[in-house]
Amino acid sequence: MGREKYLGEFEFLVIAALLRLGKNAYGVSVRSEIKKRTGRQVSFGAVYTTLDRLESKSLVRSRSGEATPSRGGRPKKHFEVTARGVDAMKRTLESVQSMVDGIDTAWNLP
Amino acid sequence: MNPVCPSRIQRRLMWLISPRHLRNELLGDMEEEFHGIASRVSPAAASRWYRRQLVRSAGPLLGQRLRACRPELVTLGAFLGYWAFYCCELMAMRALAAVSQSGIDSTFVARNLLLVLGIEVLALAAAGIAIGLVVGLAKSARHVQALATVALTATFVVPTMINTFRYPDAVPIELRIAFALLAFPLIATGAALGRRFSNR
Repeated sequence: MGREKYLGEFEFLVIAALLRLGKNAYGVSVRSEIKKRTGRQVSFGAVYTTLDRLESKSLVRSRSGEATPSRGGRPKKHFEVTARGVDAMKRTLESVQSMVDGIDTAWNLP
Repeated sequence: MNPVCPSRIQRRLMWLISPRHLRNELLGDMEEEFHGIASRVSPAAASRWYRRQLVRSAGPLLGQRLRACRPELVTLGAFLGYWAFYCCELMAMRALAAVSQSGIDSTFVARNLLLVLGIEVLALAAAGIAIGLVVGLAKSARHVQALATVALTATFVVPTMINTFRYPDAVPIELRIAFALLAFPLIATGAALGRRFSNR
């Protein structure tokens, strides 16, 4: 099985945020969704480099959006998870789940 | 400065560190968030937020720009940079030798000697970081990093010792030997740091 079919931890968070946000997800909403759900303060640089890497692996796709005055006239870039991205997410989640299953007793040891 | 806009310097820096194909969207997102904070909290808080984002985004964005570079060009740049520093050091050694032979102020000589050694430390650490970055970005094996570290140490130690014997009055020989012995750990540490950065 190819190494690229599993996601890194931050890649996993970004894809989960994209799935939650739907078709109109973009940098600001992805960052705020991660912050809201995990409490992690992530930089725009980290979000964009991760989205760019995921796009180069064909796990997400992007399209240009509208430009508004509050953005200094610059366009948005909307991101959407591809079918390959969903597969990679499921596979990663399953592998994490199988590693975590049955570990509760070990954590509860004094 | 417009109170509801990020400062021109901050925007310019962000523009410089962003990869070209992400620049517009990234700056647009940051500006949108900036305006949100400025209206919810205060323009000063928004400015602080922008500054923090700039600092925290620098690592990932510069890393990505480096990854997009051709590794051989980064390597060439690192070695050319190192040799540029080395030539400066050589000229400084000649000047120091001339000064010490003419019996001028020893404090002046000592101060400049420290400056020369400081520049060498910076040059070696920078070259080491460049090695680590290139090895990490090119996903080369660790032995490539070790070989590059040894090669760079040799190119530093051999000419340095030649300079030491050519200009014995410039720098005490014990100091030069001690410094040459420090070269390897300095380069190796730089390489380890560079590799770690490239893996982020």
